[in-house]
Amino acid sequence: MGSERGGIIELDTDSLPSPQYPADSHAARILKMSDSGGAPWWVVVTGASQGFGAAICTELAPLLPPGSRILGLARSQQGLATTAAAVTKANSAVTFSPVVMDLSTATTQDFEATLKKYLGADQSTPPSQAIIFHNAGSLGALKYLGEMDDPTYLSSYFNLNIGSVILLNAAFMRLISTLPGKVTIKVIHVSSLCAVEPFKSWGLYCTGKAGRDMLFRVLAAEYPDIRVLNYAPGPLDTNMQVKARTLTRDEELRKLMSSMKEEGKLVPCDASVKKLLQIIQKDEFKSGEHIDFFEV
Amino acid sequence: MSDSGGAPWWVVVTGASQGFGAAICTELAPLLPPGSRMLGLARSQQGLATTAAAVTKANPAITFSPVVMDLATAKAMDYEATLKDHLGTGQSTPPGQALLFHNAGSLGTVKYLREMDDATRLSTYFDLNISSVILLNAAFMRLISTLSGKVIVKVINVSSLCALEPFKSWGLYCTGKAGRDMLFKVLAVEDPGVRVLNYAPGPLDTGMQVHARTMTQDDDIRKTFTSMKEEGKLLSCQSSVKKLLQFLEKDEFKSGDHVDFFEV
Repeated sequence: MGSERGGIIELDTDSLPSPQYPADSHAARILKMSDSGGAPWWVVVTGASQGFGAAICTELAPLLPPGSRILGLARSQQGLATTAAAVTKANSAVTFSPVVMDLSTATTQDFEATLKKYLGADQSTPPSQAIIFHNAGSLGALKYLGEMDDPTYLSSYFNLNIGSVILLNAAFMRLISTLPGKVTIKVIHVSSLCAVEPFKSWGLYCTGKAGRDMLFRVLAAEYPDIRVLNYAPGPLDTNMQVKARTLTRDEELRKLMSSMKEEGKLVPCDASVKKLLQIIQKDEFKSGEHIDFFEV
Repeated sequence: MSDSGGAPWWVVVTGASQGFGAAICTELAPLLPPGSRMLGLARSQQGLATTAAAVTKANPAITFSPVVMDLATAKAMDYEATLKDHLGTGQSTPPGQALLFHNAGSLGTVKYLREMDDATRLSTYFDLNISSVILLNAAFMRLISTLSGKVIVKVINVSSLCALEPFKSWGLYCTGKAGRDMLFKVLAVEDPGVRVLNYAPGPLDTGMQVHARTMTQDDDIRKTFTSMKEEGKLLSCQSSVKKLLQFLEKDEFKSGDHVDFFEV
């Protein structure tokens, strides 16, 4: 049990430089080689085609034991291909499986089949750790609540941002429960300040994020053996941020978002992912906790 | 609230056929000025008829309109038409106050999260417990915005301790309630002129409570609810509504706040 908890990530972080090293650095090669005997990990990342999701894949890859599998779900085949290439470059000993999927319409059967095919099919090397990053999400219509009038749109919005997370997480946990031996499960929810504070004309996004934070707190309470984290990544320099500063109905908020961009205050995805991985690595958080990039 | 000379009020209550919703209607009715209009939405025609009779008995000077509606599937135009038919339009004499109680809701499947596997069921759950609230509230606010003169608007979300604390095997309900609390916090900041309250009524002696103590998958939680019933610790809807109405009347809360029965 002791050393078989994933090898690389378990090394004493005080004696190592913090993982700011480039993927092809000497440090990374040492770490990889020192865990070449470790059991592989399984990783699932939603919204893996761009932004934070893609950065999770590429930053995590070099830290994984050889034979590990990353399953990347997203709607964009092209985006996934870009991520796939970056992951392979970062660690050729890891398999990246890009799967095009629309989470807002996927059924449990879709999730089960995908997980089984890309992770579960090969039972000869069960993983020692299984991590799922619930990253995919959407801002939704950035209008005032008084303007909402489309039930189909709202339904789709919560299907994606809440429903799909419940279904995929359940399918993932069910699959892991069929594996032999002890598998450490870590569930990471990409949260937001919006889960905690209301933002004008961001009613849908705030509602979804607040709901999700609670969802993962319930998960943590129900399954004390799983490590559950609500991570708010900070304002990232991504396409979602472009939408935020161009489409937000509330003028005050829109200007705030624009100035964050202009003043260089947006956080690069890799910087936020690095912090997240450090938090996961240290493994000291209380399961179900909400942690923000800026408070670490 | 005793303002018998004042302009009539408009009140909308969802889930008005039983439990807390029915109690809101019957407890509020005697406090309303004559000519006030109360609109009760629910799926049960029979339940609404019972509420209608109780309201009329409590205050024959007001109108109660029972409207059968499934909030999980209603469209914006359904809400608009219903509000227009039973409350009024921009041409109507504006009410002195307009209150909307978002009370309807469901526990949902009270199973552990690993067991969830039905996309359609989840979709319907959030259609009812989150989306319908957004749609009805928007239709209500749009109607109010067409009225001339100043109307005091109060929007009440029937919340829960579950909006703040996780309960095992209550993932759907906790998620919905936490989402709704935030929804109403956003409403409060978007519309500073509206008084918005997230009110957690305490554990009520209702049909929903029966569901809680019989269907909850988690043994600990289920036993907690069973003993609350056995030990007489459940609250009557009337007592919780009375507290809510007192709180609303005092009108000292910060818009968007979460207030619990036990802390008032």
